[in-house]
Amino acid sequence: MTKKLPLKVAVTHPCQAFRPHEVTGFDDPLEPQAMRRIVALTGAEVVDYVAEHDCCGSTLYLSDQELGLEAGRRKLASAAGADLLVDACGNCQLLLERFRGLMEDTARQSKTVVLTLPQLLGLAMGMEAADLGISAASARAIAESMA
Amino acid sequence: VSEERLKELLKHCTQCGLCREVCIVERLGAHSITSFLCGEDEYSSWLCSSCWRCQEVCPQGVDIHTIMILKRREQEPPAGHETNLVNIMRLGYALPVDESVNESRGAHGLEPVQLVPHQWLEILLQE
Repeated sequence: MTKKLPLKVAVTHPCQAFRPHEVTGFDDPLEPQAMRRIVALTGAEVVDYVAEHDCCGSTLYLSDQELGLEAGRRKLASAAGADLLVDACGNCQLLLERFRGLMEDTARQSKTVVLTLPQLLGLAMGMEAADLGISAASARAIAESMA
Repeated sequence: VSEERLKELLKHCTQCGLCREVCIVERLGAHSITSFLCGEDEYSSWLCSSCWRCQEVCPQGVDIHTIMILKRREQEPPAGHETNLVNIMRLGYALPVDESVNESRGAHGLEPVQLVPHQWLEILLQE
């Protein structure tokens, strides 16, 4: 890491990395710490939020779109005190980032930028936001939070 | 569902309700397999998000995920799952991953990925 990121980061844990624990043998299955530790290495402050350990709801989207979006909306609303909500799974990313526009206003208008873990690490390694696939609007919001 | 198999899987369940307590579906006001475990009739096993949190908290070590899969075989799947099944049969992936993926990768200077070869699909689709 070449750059300290003065940001408040909420993390959403990738359930398939540590559950079922008897198969993965990785991290704590109910209070996972690995991702919090990685994010802390960037100099960011990892913040707690009520829905931290809740499922993102992306697999629910397949069975019931409204239910999946409601899960995502609640997670985004719960993490609203953070500058960033960071995910580490393609499915979480799909729901929390790509489907965010389908959620009702509170989630859409929340200022919290959603990034996926490698993008955050890329920023801490001094890479440009555009090279990391971070939109110009998100990059501006991140820069403002760091200012 | 084999009733005997289900009975065996449920043998140690005390209906303490801890699974339902941590279930995201229940928190959202809908009912999934944890409602079935608590003795309710109104639930859909297809609403389970497969996060496995219920199974990790179960003090009795009940294999809730297997129970959920067995129950799915008795309940009609939602349309989204049917679409995925059709995609798997056609392309080998649940999501529509086809040649357009490599065209898109190529446009960003990335190497093409190998799509599922037809002979693998045949193995996948064997009864």
